[in-house]
Amino acid sequence: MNMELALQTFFDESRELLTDMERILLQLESFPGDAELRNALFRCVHTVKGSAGIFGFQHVVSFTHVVENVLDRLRTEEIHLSQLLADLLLRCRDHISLLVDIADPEDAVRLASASQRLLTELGPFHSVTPPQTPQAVVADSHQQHQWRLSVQIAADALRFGMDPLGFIGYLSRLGQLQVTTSSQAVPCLAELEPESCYLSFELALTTDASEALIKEAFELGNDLYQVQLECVQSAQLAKLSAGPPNDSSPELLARTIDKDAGQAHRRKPPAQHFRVQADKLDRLINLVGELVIASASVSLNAGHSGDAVSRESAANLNLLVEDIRNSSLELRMVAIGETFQRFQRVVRDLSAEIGKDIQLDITGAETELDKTVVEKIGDPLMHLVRNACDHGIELPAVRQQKGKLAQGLVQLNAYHESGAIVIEVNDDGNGLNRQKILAKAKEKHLLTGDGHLSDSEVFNLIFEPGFSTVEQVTNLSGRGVGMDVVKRNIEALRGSVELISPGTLGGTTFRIRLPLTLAIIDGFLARVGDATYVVPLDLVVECTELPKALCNADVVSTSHYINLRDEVLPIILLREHFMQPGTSGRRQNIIVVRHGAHKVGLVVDELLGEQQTVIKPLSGIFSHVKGLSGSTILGSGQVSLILDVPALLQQVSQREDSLDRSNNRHVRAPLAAC
Amino acid sequence: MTKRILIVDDSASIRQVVALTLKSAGFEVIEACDGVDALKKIKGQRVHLMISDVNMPNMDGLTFLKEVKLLPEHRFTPVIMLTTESADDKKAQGQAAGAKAWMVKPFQPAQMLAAVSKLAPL
Amino acid sequence: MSYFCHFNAEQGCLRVQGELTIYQASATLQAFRAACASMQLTQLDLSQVTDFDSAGLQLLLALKKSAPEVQLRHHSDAVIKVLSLTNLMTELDLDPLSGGV
Repeated sequence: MNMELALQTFFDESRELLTDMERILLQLESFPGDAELRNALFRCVHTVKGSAGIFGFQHVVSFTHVVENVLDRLRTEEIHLSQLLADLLLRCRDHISLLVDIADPEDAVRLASASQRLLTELGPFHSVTPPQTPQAVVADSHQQHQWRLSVQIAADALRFGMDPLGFIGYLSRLGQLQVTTSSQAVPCLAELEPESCYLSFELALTTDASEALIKEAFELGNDLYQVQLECVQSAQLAKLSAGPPNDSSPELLARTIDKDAGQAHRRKPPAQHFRVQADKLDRLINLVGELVIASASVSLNAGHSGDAVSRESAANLNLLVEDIRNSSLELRMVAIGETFQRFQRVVRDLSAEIGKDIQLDITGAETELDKTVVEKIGDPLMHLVRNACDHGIELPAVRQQKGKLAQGLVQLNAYHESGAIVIEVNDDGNGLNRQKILAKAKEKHLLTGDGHLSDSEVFNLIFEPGFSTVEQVTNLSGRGVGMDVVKRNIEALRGSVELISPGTLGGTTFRIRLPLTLAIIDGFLARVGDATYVVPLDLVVECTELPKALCNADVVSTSHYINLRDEVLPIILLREHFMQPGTSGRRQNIIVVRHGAHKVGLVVDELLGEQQTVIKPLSGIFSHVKGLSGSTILGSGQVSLILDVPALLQQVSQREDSLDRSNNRHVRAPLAAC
Repeated sequence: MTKRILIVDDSASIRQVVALTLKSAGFEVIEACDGVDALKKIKGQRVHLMISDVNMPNMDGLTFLKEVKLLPEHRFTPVIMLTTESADDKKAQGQAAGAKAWMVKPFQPAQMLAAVSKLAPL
Repeated sequence: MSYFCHFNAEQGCLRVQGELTIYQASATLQAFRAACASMQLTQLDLSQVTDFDSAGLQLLLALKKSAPEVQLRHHSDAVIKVLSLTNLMTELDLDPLSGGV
């Protein structure tokens, strides 16, 4: 361990504390009477200040010192948390965060005026007096002086851990020390109280140290020492301390201690954590990925060898590897709560800025997902939340006119659903206006033809690049600002976003669906010709054989639907879709997959079964191919392509809609019964 | 005999710096993040000096101090309490509970070392 | 935290082993009193003292006051350090030049 590492700890720790500070401040606005919250708030800044001080970050210390004082007065209820003060403290928090990030005190100069402005605003709330200039200390440096000290020690000193050997040792390091220990007061064995102090000292010190430095010897625990200090040359007499050591009743003390101890023990111990560098974790996950591939290879070879013992060992190995995979992925799972929590502040500040009253409700904060996903979802969410506040929620007067509560509601919700995490951003404000969006889309030439569009299709137009620019924000109720960016970012995470709006009255919901992890999935393997494809297993509903009647004919490729147990199921022929050469075999199978509310059947040659799959990114040459999300290496060393089911489903619904538009509804008739 | 010093602070960076400073001066250091942790870690071993923050979650410094003063094997060990200038009332409570040594936070490592040298001479 | 006090009555030798600090002061005082009461104590062996403080120092001073004839022997490093710091070497049978034994 070295200083560098300690410094890194300081940065991490401060960042955490400042996040806490923001959260607590916002909570405190709702529960101003909560003393524990007020304490915790104080502690945040107290700790930042203390740690910054030990590293000598004076610019952080001097600013936090005042904030700490305000929070201390808040804690002792000398002052109260007004809206004004809460605002100010939040801005102070942001400022501290800036100060902490500047490790080099020289760079702090450019924040000095900002610090000063905030300190001026804090003026009415703090009770910090400007530091007094230290009094001039007698004794010139580099000049030897002779001092005489006479030290009396309280009988209790040893019991308090104050051993005179401490100050004697200290003084002996200042210069030449002559010690005379007076032991006359020590009684004989019969009368000795072994823990009481009977000693006193006469000391002669020759040193160039200042008087202040000599006095420091008795600074700790000075009410236990009575010291007379005399500079022999100048005959200056200084009395350091007077008064007997204070006494406390042991019985009374013991009782209060019992009570306090009981309270301390009743509190639940916090979960134990320790910090791990993120890249170490990433490396582990990568290695586990390789391990998964290697283990698949072992299974494959064991299968080929036909040796039952090898097969069993391989199966055991597989189980263990699966456990390891799950445990290591779990290491990188974090609750989404912290990300959600950031938006409390955003909503609060934004509503003040635009004159609305908006409450943010958070549910599902404990829902976990991969850290790498969490990091990247913040920006898109920010966009959606800001949009909900900015353009979804109406002004209070407008809301009242509509018969709604004046206070608008934005909800963030997260939950797990079939191997994915779903995040919803919901507001109870203006819904979307179908007509306006259609008009705008035509103006922007995003629509060709006059075909009828479903509501969902219209609404999802706002995700089209170039749909909306800032100027159109207000007259289009604002949806669409940079929505294409939001969509792109989410899709880059192998996720999808959809928009649900019941119309102009009833608010809007954005539903984001994300994979739990970006590294490894359980896949279902299928073969088409020479190629193998992986379908994420949690999306697979069922697998079934395609009726023989359909296999040999070209019928399947001309139709896009089959009848699966009296249900119309759209299908995709993977061979056709990926333009693979060759013809389909005599037997064909269907993998039915589901994403959200949509289902589709994927037609393949052969079902190969489940397989753990390590996702590798696709190289650039595949970027134009729709419907693939990555590649993977099989145990045999063969490369397999991972299907992007959401993208495939989207293509199906586009196809459906284009069919609808051409009014060719006959094609929708199921071709054959399965 | 190497002197053993306990540092109790909820700030990991403060603990690390104090530990570094004291170790390089030849002390043995025990780190704890709060009172409960500290009580657990000093069980069964002699500690020559304890340095404790006052403001900590879980078990604060004053409660820790009171607990320590009840333990036969630790009750005479000197304790330096770390505090802020503003905490005069805490200081009074601490005095009553048996803390005689106080250090104002924030401090520099050298100050800490000087204070330690007065209470746990090597 | 080891501490052990052993009195060999035959040799009149009391030996303190381990820490001799405020934590053991009470127990050591009892041992000193008992050894003195036996009238056989002639020397105190300090060679095994690992930790020594002012409370320990006072015990030695009190012993010397009660029984000046008892010789302190084989001062350990921990003891020597304190005696030289407090300038009590001669009082407690430590030859300032030889530095103990």
